[in-house]
Amino acid sequence: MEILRPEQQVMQAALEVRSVRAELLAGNVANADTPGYVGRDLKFEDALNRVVDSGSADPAGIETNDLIQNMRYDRNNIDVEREMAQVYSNALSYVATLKLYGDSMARVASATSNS
Amino acid sequence: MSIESIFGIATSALDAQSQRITLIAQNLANANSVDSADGGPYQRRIPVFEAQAVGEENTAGLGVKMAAVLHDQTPARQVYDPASPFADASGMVNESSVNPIYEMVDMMQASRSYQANLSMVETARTAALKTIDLLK
Repeated sequence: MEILRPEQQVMQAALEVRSVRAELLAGNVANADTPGYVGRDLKFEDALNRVVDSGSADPAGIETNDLIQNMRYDRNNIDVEREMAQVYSNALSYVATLKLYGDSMARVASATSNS
Repeated sequence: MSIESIFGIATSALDAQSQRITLIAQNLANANSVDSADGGPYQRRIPVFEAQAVGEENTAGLGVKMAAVLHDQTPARQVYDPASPFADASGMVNESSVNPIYEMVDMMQASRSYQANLSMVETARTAALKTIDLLK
């Protein structure tokens, strides 16, 4: 018998993908002034599907962002404002998923406690 | 764990940016130095950043490090000052090619990047604390 309900497994996978994405975005901001560095990101939905299907924590499928219009003369295309907006939106989704997950676990706990 | 490795990535960037600001301070301080240990006027120092993995394990995000410090090869600015002991036969003195305006703009950019990485630490800290709160 699966102890975790399906939606809890999806939430776990979502948290995993969100945290990997947070790390990629942190790398992008850190390398905003590195010559030749191009942005790296992953598509959340695709990555979530991969983690749910494979059950492994590694979402894989990291894509480089080859947007030419942002490319500076040092071959770097990081737009810090855009990255920070992504960081905050990603963190917000992470915290929201965390809250849902915590509440869901609390319901399991209250259903299994005998008091 | 991914959230924890954000601290390493952001810290590497904070390090690199503060080293960059140190070089800018050095450039500004030496804008009028006509002599240096290498002979000739002071040459502007240029930091070169390089993306690199942080820590032992392979992380998805890349940190940054200052890989090299280059010397600006722009020819020295020639100023007519026959009274200077550094003047050549025709009274010209080789002065440093440091442009203070350029340095100030570079400093603003470095300090913005520093702030961006600082908010990255703050965001990761909040997410990590909320995760720990699950244990309550």
